[in-house]
Amino acid sequence: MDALHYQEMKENLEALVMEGAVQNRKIYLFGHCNATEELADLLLEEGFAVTAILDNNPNKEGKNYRDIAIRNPSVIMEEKPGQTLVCIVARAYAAMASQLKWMGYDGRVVKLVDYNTYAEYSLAPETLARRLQRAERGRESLFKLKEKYPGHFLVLCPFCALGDIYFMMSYLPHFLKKRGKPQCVVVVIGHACGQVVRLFGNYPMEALIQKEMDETVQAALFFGEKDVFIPHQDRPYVVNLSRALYVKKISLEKLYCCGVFGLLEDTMPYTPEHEETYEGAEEIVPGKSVILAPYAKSVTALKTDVWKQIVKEYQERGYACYTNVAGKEKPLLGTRAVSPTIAQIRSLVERAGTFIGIRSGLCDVVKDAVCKKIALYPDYQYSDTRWRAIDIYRLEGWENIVVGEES
Amino acid sequence: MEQEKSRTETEICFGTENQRTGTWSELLQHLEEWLASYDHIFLVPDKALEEDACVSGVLHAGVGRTGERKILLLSTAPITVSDGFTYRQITEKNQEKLLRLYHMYEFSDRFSVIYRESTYGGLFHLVKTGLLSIEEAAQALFAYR
Repeated sequence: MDALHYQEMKENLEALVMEGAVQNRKIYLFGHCNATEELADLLLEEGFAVTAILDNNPNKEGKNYRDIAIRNPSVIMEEKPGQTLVCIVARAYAAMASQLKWMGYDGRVVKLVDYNTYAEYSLAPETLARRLQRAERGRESLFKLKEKYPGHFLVLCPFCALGDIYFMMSYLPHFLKKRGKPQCVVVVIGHACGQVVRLFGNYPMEALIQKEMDETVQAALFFGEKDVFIPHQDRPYVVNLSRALYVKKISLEKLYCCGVFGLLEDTMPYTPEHEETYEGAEEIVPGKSVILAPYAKSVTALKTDVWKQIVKEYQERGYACYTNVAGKEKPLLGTRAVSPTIAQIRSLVERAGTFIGIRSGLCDVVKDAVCKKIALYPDYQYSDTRWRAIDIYRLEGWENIVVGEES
Repeated sequence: MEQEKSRTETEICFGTENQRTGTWSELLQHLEEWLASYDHIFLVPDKALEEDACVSGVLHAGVGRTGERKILLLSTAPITVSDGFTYRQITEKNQEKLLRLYHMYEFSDRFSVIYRESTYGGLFHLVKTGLLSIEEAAQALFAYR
């Protein structure tokens, strides 16, 4: 979870506590994901007990997080009315709240983070009016973009994730050629995604905040804008690509190439052309260093012990260990911090000789680096499909390792 | 001035005051009833069926199956369905309104439009590029086993 969303979650929880809505209630969390684990951590820190994590995926049932059992949502119906609280920090809040209502649960359900501003499961007149205003705000943003970039095709990237942007940029030139759109402006969320765009060339680019992007995307849909494309594999809600995973295992890269852009499977991806040399390269012992990347905002973290063990093993073999950090992240014990830019990271890992990272978008950015590369996968199910994360995110030419709970 | 602009916009999107209290609110009421009665509602625009062989292929592969879920298909065009599916013919005006509503916000995760859009990707691209067969796409869309 990024810092802004974490702050939102914390403030909303504090407000609930002030209101007395958390105390003396059985607390359930709905939807097992990285964000839910962070909420569980926060609640435990604050001295609250979590009764269970509800999840619709039968493959998750029976597992647990910090001794909190993951259970089917139906268990909540066994509780006495008025004595429970369901907290949700997942993108599918509206669907989850609707499911609970559908089941007959009439206790309180709260959204602690607004991950999906597109959804509001109501057809009330006031909802319609509010939603129309939102679309109109988005249209203002579209106008501004069109005014600044006349004649350009707008590529609106609806989500802040490095891997998604990397694959999108790998195939975008083919798509623009197919559509006969030589001039485009790429609109992303946040600075890091912008850096990934820059790897692939000097595209005109704009960075928006999430809320602004959501409104712009919504306006493009609602007003039927023609010179716009929204290149994502499962956002916004109108994109049904992820349903393909119910019947077939398809890698994330192929979802982008074929599903998002409609390009043939054998289309060759473009590769980054604007990479830079890491500024502190001389301090890195070439071929005898390892760059560790333990942090990812949207992936369940691996246990600290896993990283401790890796550091120990590499140090015993005479390697210098570095941790890739950003913002307030701390280097792993016994390692030194490095903070390359997105454009520099490939040169850094190639000089080091070894890269070991939790499987996140950063791995996509260094996927073609010429060195030893290891991706570590927390043992989790990909969304509500029957596939494991490794099935969808596996990287060719890498050592791909699933790290189980016992590791 | 702002209010004037907003009012005009609302009328463009949802019709005049009279229409909103008449046809439009009736449609919303129907929609609420359908959402309460069916597991999933699919709107199939007639244009998609006429112009896109891929869409009609997937649709016909899907509706020919006996599904486990209660599915409602809405279209201006006639569609032959089997058990598990219900079909309702709607007017072009209502089709247009439902499309506008669908593109305005996510009012339910149980309402979808079967259509190949040019503004974003989707299942039909996977069929066109050979990653999914028509049968697999139908299975993915309607989630039958």
